[in-house]
Amino acid sequence: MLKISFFMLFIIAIFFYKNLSLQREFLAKGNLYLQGKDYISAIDCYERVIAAYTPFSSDVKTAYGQMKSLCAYLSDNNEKLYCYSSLKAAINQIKWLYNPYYGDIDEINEKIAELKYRLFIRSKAGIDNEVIQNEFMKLTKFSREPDKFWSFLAPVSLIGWVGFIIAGIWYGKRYYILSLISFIVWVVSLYMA
Amino acid sequence: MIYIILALISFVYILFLVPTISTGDGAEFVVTSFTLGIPHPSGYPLYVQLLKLFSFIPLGNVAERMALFTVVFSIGSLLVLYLMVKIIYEEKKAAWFAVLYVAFIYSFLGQSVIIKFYTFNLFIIAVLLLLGVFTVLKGYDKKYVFLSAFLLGLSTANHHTGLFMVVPLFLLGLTYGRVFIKDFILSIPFFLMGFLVNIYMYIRSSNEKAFFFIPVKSLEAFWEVFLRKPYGTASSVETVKTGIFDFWTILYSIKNVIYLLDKNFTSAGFVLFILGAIYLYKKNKRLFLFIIVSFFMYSIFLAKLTLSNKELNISVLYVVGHQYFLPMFFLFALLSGLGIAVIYIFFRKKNLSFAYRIVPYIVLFFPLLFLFDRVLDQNFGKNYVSYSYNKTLLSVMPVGSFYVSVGDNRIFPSWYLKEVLGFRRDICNISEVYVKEHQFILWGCKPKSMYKLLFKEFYGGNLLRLAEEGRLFSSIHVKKIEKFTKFLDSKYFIFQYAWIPKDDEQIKGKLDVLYLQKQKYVNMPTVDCLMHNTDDYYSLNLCKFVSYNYALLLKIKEKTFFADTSLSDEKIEDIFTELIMKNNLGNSFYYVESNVEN
Repeated sequence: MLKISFFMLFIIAIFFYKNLSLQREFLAKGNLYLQGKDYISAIDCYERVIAAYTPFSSDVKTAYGQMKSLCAYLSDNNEKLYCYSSLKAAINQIKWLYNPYYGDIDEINEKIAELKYRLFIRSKAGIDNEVIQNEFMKLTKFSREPDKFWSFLAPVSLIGWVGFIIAGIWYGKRYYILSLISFIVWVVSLYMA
Repeated sequence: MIYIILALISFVYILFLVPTISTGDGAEFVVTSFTLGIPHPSGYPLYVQLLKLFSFIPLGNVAERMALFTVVFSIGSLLVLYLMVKIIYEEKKAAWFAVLYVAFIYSFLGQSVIIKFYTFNLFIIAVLLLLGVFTVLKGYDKKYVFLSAFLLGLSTANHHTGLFMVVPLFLLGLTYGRVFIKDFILSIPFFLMGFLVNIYMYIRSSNEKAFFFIPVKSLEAFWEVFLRKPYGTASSVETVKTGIFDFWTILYSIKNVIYLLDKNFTSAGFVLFILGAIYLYKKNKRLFLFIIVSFFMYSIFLAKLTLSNKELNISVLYVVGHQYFLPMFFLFALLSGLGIAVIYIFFRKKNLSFAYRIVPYIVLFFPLLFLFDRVLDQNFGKNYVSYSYNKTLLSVMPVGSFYVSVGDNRIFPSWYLKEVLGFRRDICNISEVYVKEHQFILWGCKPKSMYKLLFKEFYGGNLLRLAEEGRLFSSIHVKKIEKFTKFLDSKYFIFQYAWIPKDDEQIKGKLDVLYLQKQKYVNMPTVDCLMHNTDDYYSLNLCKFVSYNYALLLKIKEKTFFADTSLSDEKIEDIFTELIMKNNLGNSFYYVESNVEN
């Protein structure tokens, strides 16, 4: 068990190293594209830096800052929309139990909704502009993410249920009570998530 | 030493691991797992839930974390392989060889570095095999029977090929007589307990935020999904019903199995395999029966169901041969490992101490040679093609566009971008699953309440209005849908087609201007297509449209492409299709091919 635990830590360490090297690579590329005024490619590279997230990474923080500045700087509405949408995508990609950089999401959503409204070709059937704006805001804010606590508990209790049944088979019937409890927690978690 | 070997393998796998969504089904599993929804039939509820757990790892992005799941269970399967060889012949060095021999072959490594459930499926099968080996070598115990039944029940909540293990396990059990029959009946409740994981589909279908391929709101819907009925002849029941006793297809199945083994392991493996099989038979007939029947189920039997074509093409090889046969490769490596163990035991018995000490270490370098090829064909570590291609595809469409997509590599990544990342949710994306039958499914346009107002033209049955405004796009040429050809035409746009009103020159001109404006979004997919380091069939398929994009760009900008200004878009499509066919980049991309039907 100890060997397996160390081995899992080793896997995490390589995973960490891989993401660090992706960060460095794409941050350098992003800065080069930015210097060459290829803003779209710079945005893509910075997004990849963020997507290769490691906690407390200065490269991720730099990339995030660069992207935010670029989004504010761009004047073309299509490019601005692309930038803010990519920034939102980057933030959503790296969520875990904690949501890094999520404090900015409301502001980003507002900018995205406003840009979409401005760029939208209006139908000649005469829908109220305010209605269209509200529709875009609703769409932009909509999220399919389940509740974090319950969606974390569901697979954990599933593993517990499976583990306790195996323990029950192997070591004795006393584990079946625990498997029943895990099963109930699992079902409830799936409903609540 | 085994942990050093597994560490080396893990290191390679993680470096080669896809950094975001992979091509094929990968994006779909990320979306359905992230939202705790239901992917395509048979639903894979066990896989989906465990993937969700991996999404909470605080490193990388959500897709990459889910790809890590594949690596973990691949390594787990290799550990089980090691244990099996070691237990059968008590030769650790042969077990090292078996592990390395399979770890770096094309299909095993290829399936270990993407988002797919086959290595998890293999892990369950490997544990079932190990239980069978324990039964034979350590003595019959009803705990093994109950545990096997439970795991078989769990396997119904992953991939149904896990159930193939019923045959070898049952045959093995029968050799123990009446005691097994009694325990077999007592094990049924354990099977049902494992099967219970499938109620996930019913429970989650009541949640409106989750993403479903097909929601399961009734018992009828449950069986439809569980038995894969929407796939017709490829459903679980129909597949098994196909003529088991047809001579020629059995022959082709054997041929195709040999082809797969030869391509992955090289011909040298057959010698070791036969040696291992012969000596296993001599050592323990019961164990031999168990292993060989298992091998038969996952090789010839599985090929009979899924890979019994006379001629193999790249599409079938990639979808079937490259994915379904991991258990066969596992068992082949097991028997090859036993074959090499026999050679080591021979050295030991003949007191060839130098050979016994040195040869096992030299032989370990042989499987490492496979890595030279893997670096060039299965290194997904920089493969962003699926992500950047589909991100560009959505980005170049005007706000509030309507997009009809066909094919996994365009449907699933757009779901990931929209539903998980919240990217361009203003695009209403419907999928035409069966082009000839014109069945549209509104997966990427839900919840309906959010799209109804912005796309009232579509909900009012007026696609033409969307086309007139330049808001109607598709991954297929409109000539594939007969009923639309009366009033719509196609114009190639970036990585897709704009469907425009027939003979409308004004919109064509507007789209040409837009086409030039949007070229700045094409750089990253182009770079990714040049740098992806794989021979991934789907990546090459998507990248075809990148080069095609530049050809059309030249035509629009320079009007001198091929020094013939009279060349129509359709003619250029024909030229490119011919060029691509000659380069063997695929012959069945009907949902992406630009070749216009005459």
